[in-house]
Amino acid sequence: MSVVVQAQGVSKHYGGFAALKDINFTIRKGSIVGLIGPNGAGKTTTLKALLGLTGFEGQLTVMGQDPRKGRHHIMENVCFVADVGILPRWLSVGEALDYVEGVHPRFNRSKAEAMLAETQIRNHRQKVKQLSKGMVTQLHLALVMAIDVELLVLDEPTLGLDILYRKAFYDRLLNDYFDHETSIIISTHQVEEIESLLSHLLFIDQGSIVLDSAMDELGNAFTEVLVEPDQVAAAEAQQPIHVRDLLGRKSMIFEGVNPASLARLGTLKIPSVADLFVAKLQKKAGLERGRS
Amino acid sequence: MKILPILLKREFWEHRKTFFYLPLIILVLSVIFLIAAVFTLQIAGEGIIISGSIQINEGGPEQRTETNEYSNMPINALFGDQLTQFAALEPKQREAVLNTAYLLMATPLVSVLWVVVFMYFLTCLYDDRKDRSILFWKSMPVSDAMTVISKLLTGLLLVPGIYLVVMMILQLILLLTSLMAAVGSSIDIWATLIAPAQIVTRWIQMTAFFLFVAIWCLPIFAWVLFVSSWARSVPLAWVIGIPFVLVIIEWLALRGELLREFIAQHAFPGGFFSRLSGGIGELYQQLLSLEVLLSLVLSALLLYGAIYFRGKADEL
Repeated sequence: MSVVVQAQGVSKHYGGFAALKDINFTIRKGSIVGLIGPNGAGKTTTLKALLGLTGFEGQLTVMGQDPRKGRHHIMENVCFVADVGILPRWLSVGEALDYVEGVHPRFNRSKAEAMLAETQIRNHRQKVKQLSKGMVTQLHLALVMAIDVELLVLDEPTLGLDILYRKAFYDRLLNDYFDHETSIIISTHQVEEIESLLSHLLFIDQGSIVLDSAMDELGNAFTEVLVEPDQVAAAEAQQPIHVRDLLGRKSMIFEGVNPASLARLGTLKIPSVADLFVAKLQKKAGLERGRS
Repeated sequence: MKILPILLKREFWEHRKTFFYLPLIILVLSVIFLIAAVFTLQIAGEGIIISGSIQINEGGPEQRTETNEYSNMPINALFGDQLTQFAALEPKQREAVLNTAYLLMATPLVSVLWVVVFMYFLTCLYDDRKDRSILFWKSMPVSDAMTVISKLLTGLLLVPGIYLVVMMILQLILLLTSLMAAVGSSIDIWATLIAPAQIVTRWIQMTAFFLFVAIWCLPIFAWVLFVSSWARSVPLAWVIGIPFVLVIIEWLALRGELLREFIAQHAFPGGFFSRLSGGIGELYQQLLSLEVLLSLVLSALLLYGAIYFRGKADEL
């Protein structure tokens, strides 16, 4: 599969603060990558760096180009949706359509209008400031989904929306937009909502990538065991990365331990992304506590 | 370059109020003022406002004073009882009175235009960083250079162009109103009202004047655009503060006033005219002066800086 984004040793400093510390990752064509981390972990900085919206150190190529040099070339093949607040308030729906049609060579206006017709946005003379948060997202999404690009970048796209919109947003993304020719990268801290649509996971915490794995390889690296009460001591000897109490029993997550050797401890399953997220981040916090 | 028209449209949409509705309101108010003047003078008969101020003396050195008296209320001269007195003036005097009248119609628009353009340049690369919409604009395949150029052309040509058209409409309304008011009187309409108004020459001159002013004021506007591109807060304070400090330093260190004079000259179109003793032909000579050529180099540097900082710009 061809590489869409390649990051090698990318760092970003704001004064003395390191927002990104030497991160590496690769995004391949046709993948849906979840960039997951707590608030302030460096998700937005990573996405801005690959869009050419902020400077950085290190090597980063987006479809073979350095985003620092040719942002406007890259944007012909990349679309970006951030959380609701970035459409200018004075812009009307019709003007937004006219503008994108005027500047973007890959914009299909009738497709955008067809998508808008399915939303509550009826009047094209309405301005963004007159629309609700959900409607603004619908508008932005209709604009973006009508552009035929190779990479779609979504930065907390559903922040501030209620659950109905969030559900509809992801359904639409998967069913109407994704066609295995495009790649999508979604940043969020609400893991559960996007777990089912991802093909690849990137966990980021305090400016570092703490997990980089394909979804279908998670089972090889991680195993969750619902440990039988009499096996707890034996299980702890295998050094779980995370332990939590579950209905009077202990649930443990192991990394890099052969599942065959865990089978006698209890019931095995592949951990959920949310549990894995908690496990990886707590493990990191624990290591740092140990170090200091 | 293909996308320039849509970028200009985008600027117009954002600033519809000051680019379009404001000149339109001024147009309407000016027409109301004109109609009120016609009504008082034409219908009410006695020129209430200035009935005492018009005296025609034949010949002699006093002629100049009379023209000046007209120039206080030049529009009144075209209506009611005063029209016959106006028609009796020397051709040169008629031209002078009409010139003042037509300029007067354009004055409110010119004054407002300067403020509108200044405020536009001050905010056009700043506001979208403040409201985060820069993330949307930058997510489109439009280069930073193209963005800055579209904003420069908007303030330098598009907005003055709109105001210019409104001025022309207003002057046309004045001409037509004066013609209608003269219907039925015995004066020679062509020789009295139409020919000396020189409306076509006037429009050509106004257009040329606007283009010259765009070049003359460019270093000031490029400076404002430059500040708008990098200021993280209150761009107006930087726009005024930095030159102010430099002027003070120049004065304290060198007892010089070059910078202060340069700013005073180029910030207002009036500075351009204060240098002209002759006619429009002298404009070219002024524009080819070393000073103007150097100021164009300065403008280019400032615009390059504005593009550079636009490239680095992020939401605030």
